[in-house]
Amino acid sequence: MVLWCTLMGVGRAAPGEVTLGGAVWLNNLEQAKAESRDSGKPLLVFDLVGRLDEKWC
Amino acid sequence: MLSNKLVGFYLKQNYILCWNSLRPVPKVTIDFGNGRVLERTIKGNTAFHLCRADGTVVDSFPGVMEPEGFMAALEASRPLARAADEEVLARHRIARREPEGPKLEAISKAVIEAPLVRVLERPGRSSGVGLDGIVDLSARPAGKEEVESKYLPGEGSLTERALAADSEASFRVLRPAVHRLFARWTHLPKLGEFRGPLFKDVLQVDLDDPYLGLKVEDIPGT
Repeated sequence: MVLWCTLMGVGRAAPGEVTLGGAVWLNNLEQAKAESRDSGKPLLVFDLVGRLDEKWC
Repeated sequence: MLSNKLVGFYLKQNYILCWNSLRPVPKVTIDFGNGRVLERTIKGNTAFHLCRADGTVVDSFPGVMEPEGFMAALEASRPLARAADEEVLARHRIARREPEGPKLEAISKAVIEAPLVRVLERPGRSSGVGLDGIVDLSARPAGKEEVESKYLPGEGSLTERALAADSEASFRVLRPAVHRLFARWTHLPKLGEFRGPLFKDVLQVDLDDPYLGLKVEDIPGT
């Protein structure tokens, strides 16, 4: 898992959060909504069958 | 695509990003008994939803896309997050044209999954044809060579050809289907309202089915 994450450029910021290509993906919709409200940036939600923080996604 | 640094920079600058697992992805494991194990996922699928801060969905991008096309499409839709509901719905109604040519999707998945589906095939399985006549090639039993020769002709590596074919299908077939889905509503849907129909009707992933269409019935002796 650690090796796969390293090879794919996947970094772990905090539990549930994933860093991909230098961008942090939250895993808490309510937190993301609050950050969207505060920043004025729209939300981009990535739905997937599988998990972003695992090899199988 | 998300590991691409250019994509990451663009997303980080312009959006608050959130991922959500809809369900675990099914895995097919073949244990060769000699210490070698082959594991593949099946029925995996993804979609990006552009939303307002309250979770209202204004646009959606299902399927596989190449980085440049994805960023261009997302950038074109970004103003929708600030537009009035009526304007967003009007944009979707205008864009809901029927695609020209065969409505095939999931071509790269078909290279891996169609042979697995052939092994798993049982009478009465889904034909892989969803609403609007969109064909999920990965749900149709076939050999890898058959998928390659029929749907991925040309030069370049198999990965490159499959990604290009999927990206073309995502924009030509899936995006108009998204616009038609939005056109069903008289209001803009929230995420919880939007996910089920998008995955079931556009991507042919029934999230209410714990077997995702891979189990039809129990036949004694099978």
